[in-house]
Amino acid sequence: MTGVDLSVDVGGVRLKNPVLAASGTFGYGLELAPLVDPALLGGFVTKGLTLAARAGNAPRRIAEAPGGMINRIGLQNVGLEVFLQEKLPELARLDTAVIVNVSGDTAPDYAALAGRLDAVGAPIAGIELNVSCPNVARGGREFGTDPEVLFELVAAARSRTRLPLWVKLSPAVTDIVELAAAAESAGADAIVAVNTAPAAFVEPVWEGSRLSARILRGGLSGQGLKPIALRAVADLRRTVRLPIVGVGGIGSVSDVFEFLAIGASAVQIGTASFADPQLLGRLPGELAAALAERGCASLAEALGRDRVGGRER
Amino acid sequence: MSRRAPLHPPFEAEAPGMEHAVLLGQRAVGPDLAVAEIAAPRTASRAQPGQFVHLRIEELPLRRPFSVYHAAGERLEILYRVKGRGTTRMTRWVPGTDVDLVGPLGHGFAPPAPGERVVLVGGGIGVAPLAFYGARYPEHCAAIVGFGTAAEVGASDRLLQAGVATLVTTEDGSAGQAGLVTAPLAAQLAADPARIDRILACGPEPMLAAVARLAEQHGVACEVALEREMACGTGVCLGCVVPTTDPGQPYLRVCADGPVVPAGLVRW
Repeated sequence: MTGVDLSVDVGGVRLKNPVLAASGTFGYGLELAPLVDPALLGGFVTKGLTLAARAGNAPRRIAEAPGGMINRIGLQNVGLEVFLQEKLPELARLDTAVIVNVSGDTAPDYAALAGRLDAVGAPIAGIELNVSCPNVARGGREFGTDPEVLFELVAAARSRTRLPLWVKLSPAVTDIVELAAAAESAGADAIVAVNTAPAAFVEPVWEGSRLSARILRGGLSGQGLKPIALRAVADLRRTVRLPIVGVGGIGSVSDVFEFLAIGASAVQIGTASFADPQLLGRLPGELAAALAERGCASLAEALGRDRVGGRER
Repeated sequence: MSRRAPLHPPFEAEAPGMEHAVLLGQRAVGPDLAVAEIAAPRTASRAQPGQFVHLRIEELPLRRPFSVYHAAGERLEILYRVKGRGTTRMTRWVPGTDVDLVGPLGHGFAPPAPGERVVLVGGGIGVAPLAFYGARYPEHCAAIVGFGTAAEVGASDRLLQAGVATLVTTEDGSAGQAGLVTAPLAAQLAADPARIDRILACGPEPMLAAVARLAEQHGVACEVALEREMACGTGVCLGCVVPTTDPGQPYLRVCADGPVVPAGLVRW
């Protein structure tokens, strides 16, 4: 190792390095252990959790897109009780920060999830509120498009937990800055930007001379999302005081530096892990090496102490 | 979900790994059908029939899953039909090309019990995992494989070389018996279902559904190997699911719960 200190504090979540696995791409932490040692990561975000188990959407659920993919999984998950009984003990064995991603149909759902997770405490390092899922009929993205609704939801969750609360926003909103400000004033500890963007995969179907379409509506992730995510992080950095976790199309250490340069405190990797399962394990080392080459003793030195306002040139 | 009994007996296959393999060569086995021969010692020595490998293909964002067609020594073979962005790129791979491979992945077919008589039923490139099974357990197996036309029958070369008694059907009647695999299978089951202990099937979904129905009608155990587009290949993304007949587990993941599953578990 290079001896570069990569640790960072993201809204009260202490990470040994700023590289996290995004929700829905790292399961519950052990599935990918044969391919990538979870201990190498700064942390990971669990698959989106709801109070009751969810079956998810009927297939087809995925399609490849230029530079990435479109998914409509629909929050398939084991539900809170099975998570607590069967998954949590496994998470406790991992030497990395565990952020639990939660979704609900109503603000009280989010509050209930926050309350239960708060009661559990360790090994949960923080909660990520998913207010931006494009793939469910109720809840999800609608909570993340109206600042007043979002304020109520974050405040409801905040009232039930002392765990760090991250709020994951959609890029498909009128003004992401206004939403982040609402989350901030409701007591959020960090903003995660961005979730997948609403998108469609279409296959033309000909029946004789008549044209119709087979369509998969879902969320776009991967490289195609990166410029959109960078813009969101840059705009947020100008006005929002909270730390920002950048996510969207990151697939290399140079991508990581783009997000850090524009004001992110940490990053999440998702779709790129599917093509390169060992990417997550390599990035921290590559980050440290690049910083060492610049003569940095720590990541904090490169980022500076106060990130508000950004450092655009 | 995680409450239900495990789908497979305690699985002894070793953990998947990443392997930087090398293409040895490719052979055409029919129109738009090819076998890629890969030097992949780690994966070749661990793969079980029915398991798959996940290949990275140049700049494409998602890997592509392929059943193992043949594994011996350091050599691994996959059978593929050229039909999309990924497989078209693969046809241009020349000997010496680096092959970035994750595997072996998923659950394969159960090995035969002593004296068990297994019938392999394959359609098109679905013959791949069955050829691997037949080559590993030839004394237990007989096979029925179906293709569109005679020119495609080469896609079963490994099965034929294994010495497994194989009945070939073609839809156009240009080789073997004219028609679909289900006709001879139905005839064999009707003649004496007790002569068949288990059916293993892989191929187009309508074929699998028909084979599953025949097996159920005659009370014969049946496992099917499923194919779906995948993203992670390791069970985390939940993208490759198929609906089941089990209300306690509405969907199963082809990559991690399968690709081989009991035929009765699939809602066709």
